[in-house]
Amino acid sequence: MTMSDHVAIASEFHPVDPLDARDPHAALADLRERCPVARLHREGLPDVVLVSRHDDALGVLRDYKHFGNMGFFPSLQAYRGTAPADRSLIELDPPLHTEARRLNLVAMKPAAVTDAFASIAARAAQLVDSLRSTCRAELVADFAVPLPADAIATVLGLPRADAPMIHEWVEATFSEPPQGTEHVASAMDPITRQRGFDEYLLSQVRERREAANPPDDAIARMTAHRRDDGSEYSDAELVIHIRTLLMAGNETTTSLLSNALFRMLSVPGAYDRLRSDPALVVPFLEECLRFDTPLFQMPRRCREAAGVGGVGIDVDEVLVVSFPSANRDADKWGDTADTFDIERFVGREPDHLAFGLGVHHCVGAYLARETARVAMEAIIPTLPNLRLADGYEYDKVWFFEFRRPKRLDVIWDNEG
Amino acid sequence: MATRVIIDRGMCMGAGECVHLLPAVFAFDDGNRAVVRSVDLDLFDVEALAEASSWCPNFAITVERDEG
Repeated sequence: MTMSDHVAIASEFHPVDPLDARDPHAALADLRERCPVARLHREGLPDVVLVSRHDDALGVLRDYKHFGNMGFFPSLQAYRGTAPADRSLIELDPPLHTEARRLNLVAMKPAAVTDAFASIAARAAQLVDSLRSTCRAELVADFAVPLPADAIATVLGLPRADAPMIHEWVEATFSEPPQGTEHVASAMDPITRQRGFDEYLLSQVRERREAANPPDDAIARMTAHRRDDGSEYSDAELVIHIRTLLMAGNETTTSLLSNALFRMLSVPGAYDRLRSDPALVVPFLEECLRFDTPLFQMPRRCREAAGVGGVGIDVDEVLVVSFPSANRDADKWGDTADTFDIERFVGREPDHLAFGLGVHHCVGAYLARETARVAMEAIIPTLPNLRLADGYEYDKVWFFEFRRPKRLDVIWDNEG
Repeated sequence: MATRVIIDRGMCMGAGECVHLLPAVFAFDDGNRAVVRSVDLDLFDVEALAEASSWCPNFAITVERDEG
């Protein structure tokens, strides 16, 4: 394959075009087959190299030495011009990333998440209970949005009453298309907006720092956390890290949960099987993560020239690792790669790429999985004969970053 | 010689890098988190064990070897 082939195929698909992201699997299958490492160019959108095969994705994600986590910056130069203290966890690489990850794990390690879980499960039950007598709901707005927002706020120690406001800040970063415009890049701009959000978080950090008896919560523990050299994190640094956890902990799990509810109610037999066999919930959720991967991709920027799948990548090029593509690659998943198999992960490790891989493996993966599990366990036995409302049609959210239905209109039977 | 490999259950979230690197030593348990297999750890290169530990994104793995 020559370099010109890579460019030629490219123009048909672009991973940050919301229209291409609506139903990407045919295009991604074509890229995996014909041009697995594709240089993409489209007027008005960033030039990227799309990595679509599973094995190439593994190689790139593990090789942080060549492919750094500075893909959100407009250039390597811009990245180097940004002080490490101003970078979030997803914008750092080892060795600086290693210390920052330790700080984030103060809040997100499974031991800390487990402590918050009774409260999150109770919130799931309470949400389902509040819907029960209505016999109809829009489960994205009524359940899949508020529960993850509550879960991440609870884990961090933020007031639960603030969770809806936090969710609005996060949601504001994903744009709807302006009227009359077909193609727009979404507004994933790391520097904009956020002033009100940052001021709120700063007040939360300061409250804990200045309190004579700070509460025993994750933000207080992060505030007290020290680097290896004994220095503490500044208020501004803590705000960046806490904001990133909230950004990464809302829409992601909302997508996982919305997708899982949709598949449960649309894959023939899935709802009955999950009702009769609660042990299937966990493998079912892993298949949802594979089949409807919530996060569309992660960018990497090439720091040192290297090869991917036989294609030379130049310094400063941005690679986009496509998670949904890797998760449908028949070389990895066999003939059933495009089939939803509720039993695929029974007795099998969750070896899909939905949470990334390597040193940047999603720090909130445990919280996401546990939140989705308690959500499904709260809803499945409680709403009798749950089903999609008549005439329901799947409509993907506009923004390209995530895959989930915009709405999930459901009905269920009145109890006895 | 005595070799110990300890996985901190409060830190491990089943990213699986250790299983990928050293499947003879590490495995997933039923809850999709990592466990150390019942093998003679003295037989393994301590560098390889340390390498697997260093790839854990959650710093959950400790490797100790007493020589002698």
